[in-house]
Amino acid sequence: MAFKYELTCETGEKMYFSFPIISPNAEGYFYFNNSEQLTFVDDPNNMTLFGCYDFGNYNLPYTAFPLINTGFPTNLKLSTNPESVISDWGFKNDFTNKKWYASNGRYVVFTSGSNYCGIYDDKDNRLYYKQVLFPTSRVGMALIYGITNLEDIKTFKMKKIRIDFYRDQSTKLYCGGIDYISPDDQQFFQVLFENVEPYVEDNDPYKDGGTSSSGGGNGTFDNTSDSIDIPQVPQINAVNTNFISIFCPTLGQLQSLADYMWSDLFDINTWKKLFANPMDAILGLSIIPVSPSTTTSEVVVGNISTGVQMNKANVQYVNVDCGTLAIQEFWGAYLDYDPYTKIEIYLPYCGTHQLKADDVMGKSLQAVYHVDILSGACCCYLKCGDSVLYTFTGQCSVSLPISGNDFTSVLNGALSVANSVGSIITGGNPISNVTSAVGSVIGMKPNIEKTGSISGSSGLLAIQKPYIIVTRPNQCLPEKQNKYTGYPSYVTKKVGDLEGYTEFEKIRLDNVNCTTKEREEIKNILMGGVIL
Amino acid sequence: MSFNIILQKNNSDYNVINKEIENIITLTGDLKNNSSLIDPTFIVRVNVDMLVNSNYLTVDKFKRKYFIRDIKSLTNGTCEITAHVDVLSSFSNDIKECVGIINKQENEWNLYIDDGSFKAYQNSKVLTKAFPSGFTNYNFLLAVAGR
Repeated sequence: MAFKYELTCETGEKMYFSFPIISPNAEGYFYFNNSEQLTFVDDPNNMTLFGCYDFGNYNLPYTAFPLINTGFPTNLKLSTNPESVISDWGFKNDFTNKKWYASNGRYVVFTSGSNYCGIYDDKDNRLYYKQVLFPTSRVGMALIYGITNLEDIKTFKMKKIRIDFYRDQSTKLYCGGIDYISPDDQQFFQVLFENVEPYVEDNDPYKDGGTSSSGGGNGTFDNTSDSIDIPQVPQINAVNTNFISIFCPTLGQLQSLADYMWSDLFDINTWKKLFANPMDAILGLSIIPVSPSTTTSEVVVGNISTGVQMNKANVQYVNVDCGTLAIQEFWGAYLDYDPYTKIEIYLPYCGTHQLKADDVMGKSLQAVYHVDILSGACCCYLKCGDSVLYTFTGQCSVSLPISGNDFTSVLNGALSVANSVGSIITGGNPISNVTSAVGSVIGMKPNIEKTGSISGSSGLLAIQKPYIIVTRPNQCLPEKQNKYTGYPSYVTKKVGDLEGYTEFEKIRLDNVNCTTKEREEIKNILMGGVIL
Repeated sequence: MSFNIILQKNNSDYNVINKEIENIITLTGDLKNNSSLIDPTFIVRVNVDMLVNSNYLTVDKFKRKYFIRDIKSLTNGTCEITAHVDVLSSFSNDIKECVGIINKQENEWNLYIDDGSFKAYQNSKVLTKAFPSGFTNYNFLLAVAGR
């Protein structure tokens, strides 16, 4: 059984505390041993009533009244059984222990008759006292606000507050509730509120905007990843339309066709019915770096059979697999990744591109081209591990001029390529120390664009095999560095389970029987580096 | 209040928890007035030349071990030894039961953590790796109207 009492914060929040009553003694007085039995509880519901027991006449029924009534209660609620007073009053029993901060609440005193309550600091200096009158001739116990003024509370900025309760000396009446007091006993007793937070007035101009709250931690931690594979080349293509034919002639076959086109055998009259210019039927002649599958077929230009046999392409799109390259860690450490290690890739017809080391390190890198032989467009897929992470495009055919207009366009294309040369993107400091932190070294390095536009005819002149360029830090490691400084660890371990040089980030020195000063020194040594 | 003082030679650095200690001599001494447990001053009756090899001492009565900071020769064959407690060795058994988060360790490390302590020369290493194959076949391509 316990009596439970309410504290009301100045903010309006209500909190509650209780103290257990062991049993009534022979005189019917309830008491408990010491203030440690005070238990502060938080109950959001049904805790507006407070017990009032008449110690002077303990045959009277137990009573309860609302705390907010600082005078004598007017709406008494009766309970005839001390053992069931809590349930009779409808108090909930499932209280949760909660620390009570007196600084946020109005101090509550138990009193009867004419009493004084005082508040003391941790050196027993009484900082405040107040006479509290209970307006009845009966000796009873009531719970009232002892100190209600906010300014009173502000006065007590200490870590420990003691509240004393006095019996009325003149009437020799008991004050009750906290302890049993005989008429001859010392006429006060106390409750200690340990570790009371000092009151700090909240004058934060932002406070009306609300305060932060805890949150997060509800992620799925789902690390599954879908594989993004290299697509198939399109099945639909121009060669099946019968409007266009794509041949991959040998040099001899091309010469045969040219001979035919410029010979008397070429039926110019028939041609004129279809085209204004004989060359209108020749859609393009180019060099491509791939070999599509072919079948031998007669070349029909427009609607004119030439009698020349050529290798006719069966497909418009060609797949070129450049194979797989394993990108392996050098250190097996963070240095293998961005921003310390830089990885670039040269791709024929697509140029040189920077890859994120985080994307490719420790994975197999596969480069696959899809080439449109008709337009010369190419698309390079870079598959890193299970998924395509990069796609680059380029132009891989070289148009050969078969007319004056064609030659002009070829020249213009070559000039535009020549103008786009490699350039320094960012400059670095050429003067530096011999060694620097690895991050600063890499950060100072200039990024040089390693290729200009590699496409078309210039692409044909360039390197035809992809390769990667890895730039990694040049390690400057003192011998046995791990013995002198250790390497980053960030795991939780028992000190006794470790050997060698150790620096602790944080450590709890539980059960170390030493002075505070020694404890501080131990912490400093353990965090600064200890040899175990 | 006299007690035994074991004068020793410590061959280890101050931050070693299991120090290599050699006992030299055990003396009876007193604590000087106003001495603290952490930075005590002991008075021992011994010639100073017997102490020249000592840099460490143990006082079992205090349950502590001490680094010797200084030794002064007083009159009448007494010496004054100022010391500072060796907290690591004095409480080593208790400390070994404590649990903490390790920042750096000689043997238990994870090199994927970047703590910024690695140094590098200015001249980075650059290397190239080629793919197995590339574009090797070149062909003329002739596109004509009609089938």
